[in-house]
Amino acid sequence: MRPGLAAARLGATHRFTWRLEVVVAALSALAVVVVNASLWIAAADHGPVAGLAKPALGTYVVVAWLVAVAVGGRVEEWVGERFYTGAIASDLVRPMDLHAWALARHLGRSAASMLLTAVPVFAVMGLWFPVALPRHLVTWGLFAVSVSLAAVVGGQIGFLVGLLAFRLGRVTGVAHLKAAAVWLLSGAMIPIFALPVRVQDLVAVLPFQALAHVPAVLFTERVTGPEAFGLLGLQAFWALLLWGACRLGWAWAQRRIVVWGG
Amino acid sequence: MRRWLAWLGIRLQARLAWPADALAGVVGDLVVAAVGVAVVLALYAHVQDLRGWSAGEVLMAWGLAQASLAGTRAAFGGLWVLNRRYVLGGDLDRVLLRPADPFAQVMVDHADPGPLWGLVAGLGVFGWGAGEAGVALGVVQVLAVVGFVFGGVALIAGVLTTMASVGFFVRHEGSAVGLAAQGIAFAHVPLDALPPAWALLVTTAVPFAFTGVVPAAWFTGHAPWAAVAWGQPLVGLAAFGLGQVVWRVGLRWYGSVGH
Repeated sequence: MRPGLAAARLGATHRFTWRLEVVVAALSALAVVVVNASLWIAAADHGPVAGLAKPALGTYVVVAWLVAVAVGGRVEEWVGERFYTGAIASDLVRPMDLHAWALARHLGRSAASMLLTAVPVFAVMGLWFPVALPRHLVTWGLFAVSVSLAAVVGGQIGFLVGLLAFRLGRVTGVAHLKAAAVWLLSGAMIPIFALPVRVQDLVAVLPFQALAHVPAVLFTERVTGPEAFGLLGLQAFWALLLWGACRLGWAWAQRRIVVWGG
Repeated sequence: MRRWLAWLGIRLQARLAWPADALAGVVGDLVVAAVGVAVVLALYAHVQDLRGWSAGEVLMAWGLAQASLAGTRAAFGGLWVLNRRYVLGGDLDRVLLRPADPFAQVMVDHADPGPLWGLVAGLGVFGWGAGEAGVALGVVQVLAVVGFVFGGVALIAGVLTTMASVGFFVRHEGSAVGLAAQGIAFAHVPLDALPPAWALLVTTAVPFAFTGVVPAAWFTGHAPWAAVAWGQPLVGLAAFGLGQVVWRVGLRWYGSVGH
C-alpha cells in the first residue's frame, strides 16, 4: 500500500512541478473545450440535439472533455518510453511491479489534473457558455466515484497499449489510434447520444464510455437513482476486466524482456 | 542554394531511415484528419446549418487549416523543439558558429516530409467539402487554394516563431509553442458561433481564423469575411515578419549554456 501511495504522490507531484506546464495544460484544455462547446451549442440553436437542450448539452460537452483529458493521461507513452530507453530494467527490481506502479502513478496524476485543469476550466467556461452544476448533493458523490473509476479504466487502457512496445518497439502510431478511439467513442468530443445508432451499439460493448460519457451523464443528472449505480457498476466491471488483461499482458511482456548488462 | 538543397536531401534521408517512426507519423496525421471530419459529420447529422454554415463549408475551412498546419510542421518542425534543444539545451551554439542564417539552419535541420500526408488529407477534405457545398473549383479557385495554404503556413509559422522566441526572455520548454499550435482548432469554427471575445482573439491577436473560415468565406461568399479574405496572404506575411523580428531581437538575448 505504502509504495502505491508514494507512486501516486509522485505522479501528482510531477503534474504540479512545472508551473508553466500547469498553465499551458489548462489553457490547452480550455481552447479545445471552447471550440467543442461553441459548435455543439450553436447546433442546439433550433432545438435540443439528441434530446439535450443547451444547458445540459453544454455541461455534458465541457465535463466529458475535461474528465477525458484528466483521466486519459499518457500511460502508454510512459510505458513505451521505459521499454525503449531500457529504464524497464530498473523497474523490475522495484518493490511494486510495473502495472501497479503505473496505475498508482496515473491515479495521482489524474487527481492533480482534475484539481489543476478540470475545475478551473469548468469555472471559467461558465463565463461564456450555459453550464450547470448538479442540483443534488448525492450527485457530487456519484461523480467523484465515477471519475475515480474512469481514471482506473483510463490508466489500464493506456498500460495495455504501452505493453505493445514490447512487440512493436515504439508505440507512437498505436498511441495516436488509441487517442482517436478515446476522442470519438468515449463521449469526449461527440456526445454518445449524438452518435449514429450503430456506433452507439459498438460503444456499448467497449470500455471507452467509462472514461467520459458516464461521468458526464451523472454530472448532468441525466441518469439518477438505481440507474446511476448501474453505470458505476459498468465502470467497475471494465476496471476489473482490464485489470485481468493488464496482469496477463504484463506476464507476457516480462517473458520477452532481455536485459543486456547494466 | 545548392548547399541548402544538399542539406535538405540529407535530412530527408535521415528521416526516412526509420520507416516505422515515419509511418507512425503518417498514421497520426490521417487519424487526426479522420477525427476532425467525424466530429463535423456527427454534428451535422443533427442540424442543417451552423449559424449559416453548411457541413461542406465547414469541411472546406477545416481542410484549408489542416493543410496549412501540415505544411508548417513539414517546413518549420524545428519550432517545436527550438526551446528545449536549442535555447535551453545550448544546441544553438554550433548553429551560430556557422556562416548560414541560424533560423534557416534550425528549420532545415528538422524539415520532415512526413506531415505532408496531412497536407494531402487536408486538401482532400477541402475538395470534398467544396463538392458538398456546391462550390465549383476552376483554375482561379485552385490558385487561390495554393495562395491561401502558403499564406496559412506563413501565418502559423509566424505565430509559432513569436511564441518560441519569447523563450529567449521567459525560459520555457516549448510548451507555449504546442499550446499556440493547438489554437488551430479554432480555424474551422464559424466565427458567429464563438463567444465574441474568442472570435476577436482568433481574428486579431492570434489570427488563426485566417487559416480556415476566413479563406473558406472567399469561396462561399459569407459576409463580412469574404470581402477581406483576399488579404489573408498579407496577414500571413505580416505574422511571419513579426515572428522574424522577435526571433532576431531574442537571439541577442541568447546566453549559451557552455557547449
